[in-house]
Amino acid sequence: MAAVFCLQVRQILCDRRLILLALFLCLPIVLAAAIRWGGGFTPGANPDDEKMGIGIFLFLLYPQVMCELLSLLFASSLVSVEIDGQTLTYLFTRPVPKWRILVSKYAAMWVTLLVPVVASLVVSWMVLGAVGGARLLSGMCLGVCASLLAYGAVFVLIGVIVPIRAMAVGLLYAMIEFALSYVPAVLNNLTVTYYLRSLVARILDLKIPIEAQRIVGGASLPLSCAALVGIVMAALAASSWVVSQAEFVVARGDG
Amino acid sequence: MEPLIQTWSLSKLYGMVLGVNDLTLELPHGVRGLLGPNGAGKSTFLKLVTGQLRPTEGKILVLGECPWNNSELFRQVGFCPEYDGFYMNLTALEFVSVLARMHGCDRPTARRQATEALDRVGAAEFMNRRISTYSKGMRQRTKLAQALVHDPQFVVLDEPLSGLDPIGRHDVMQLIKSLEREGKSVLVSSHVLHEVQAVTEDFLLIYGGRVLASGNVHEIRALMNEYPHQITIRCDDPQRLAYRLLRDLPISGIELERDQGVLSIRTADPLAFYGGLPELVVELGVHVQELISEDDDLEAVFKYLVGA
Repeated sequence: MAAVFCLQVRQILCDRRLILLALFLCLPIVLAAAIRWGGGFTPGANPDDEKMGIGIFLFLLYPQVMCELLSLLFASSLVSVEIDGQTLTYLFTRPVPKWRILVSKYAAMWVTLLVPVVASLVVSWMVLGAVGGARLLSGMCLGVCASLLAYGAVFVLIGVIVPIRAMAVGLLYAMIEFALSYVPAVLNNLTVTYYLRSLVARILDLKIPIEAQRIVGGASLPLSCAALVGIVMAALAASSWVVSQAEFVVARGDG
Repeated sequence: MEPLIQTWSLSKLYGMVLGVNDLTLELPHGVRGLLGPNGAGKSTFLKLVTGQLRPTEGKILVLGECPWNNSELFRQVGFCPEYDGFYMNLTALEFVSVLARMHGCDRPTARRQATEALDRVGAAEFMNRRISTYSKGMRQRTKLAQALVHDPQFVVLDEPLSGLDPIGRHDVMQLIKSLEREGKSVLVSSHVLHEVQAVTEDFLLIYGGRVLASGNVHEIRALMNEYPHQITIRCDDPQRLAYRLLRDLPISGIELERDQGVLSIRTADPLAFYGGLPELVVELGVHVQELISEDDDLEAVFKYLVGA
């Protein structure tokens, strides 16, 4: 579905929300610069502590906050933007199943967000003195990829279930999920954040104390990958089902 | 050959609001007007026809297939919606090309087909401008082009003439006629009777979600014998004529506008009325300046059937 993919990329790039995206992605760079030159961090002190500190800082800023917020902003509105703009009808009256249109839009959104987020991440990492080397950067990039995929899929699902109030419901979900991700035992194992934290921690080989792992994320690398893939597949399958079954009334005509 | 549209007890509810109510019909191929006032259920019916809505009750087949969740049907069906939503940052050529590509064309083929479709609807001269700069008429033409870009067998047009200037209306009417000459089927909705009358005599009259009548103007007229016919007479002595009409001819109602010299007459037996009227006029020596049978116009049919 190259046509829908290209159309979606173009719509995002011409969207007013692009300004918001640019602002969002400049913010971590400014923060990194403030920490680096504001005296909060001096490279070369203790390599392990540096790696841990910068790793947590970059994780919180990018896979945790930026990716989730941007996914909320763009993924939850994939369908509602088309409903509000009265353009959904043009897409849904073509010989293409609705779920393929939705998945194409999701893929386009993922690619369009991934490039600037990774660019911002690289700049922030360089500003912070390239601590942790290529391993930290590549691990964080994987975290960004996984976060955009997983949160994107979850917010797409919310967007097709409640297209009119997707943003508000998505925000509520994000807050609840964030809170649950720090509740030890079973509850945090049900969150995207838990597996993202585990994934990045395992890739970067961060030394997280055993006691803290129950809260922060102690899943193995295969389990983290499998859980995130499962979340993405399940959310996309559910979204596809919903979009195929739901009636999206673009505008109730006078007639 | 499968009928164009078949429905069996088709109903559509929006919550508690009835959009289409227990519709059973069979429409043959050809050009057909879908008429009804605002809120009659035309758009709901067209959304059911184009599979955008799922019937609450009953069944609908379009070209022999169920349209709900049947994306393959859109290889044969083109739909021009009523509303004016667009990707405003695109040009008409880009917009129609993207939609053509969704029919499986490669980029050059899609562009060629889009150019042809836009040229056909008279949009070639502005197709490289952004849609955000278009007038209502330009947008209407762009919508028509996207409905025709894949050369569908059946075209559904929801209020295609609304907001168009006289030239635009003429062009769209000519387009519909040319589609008919090519053997395509067209279902065109409107709440303005004379618009549809200009492109087809076959129509479906819908009101309150129900089909009031289906067929051509004359067949509809024949079905309406229980409804009074409306006749307007302008003459120099309406009072005297009104008195004799009431006494001698089968009149079910009469209104007199003395100042204007106009009589508005309703009769359930137009044949007897027209048979007796000349003799009466001659006998009274009344000078009739104008006699209008509203039944010659689809508007009258419409008014009768909706009880306006």
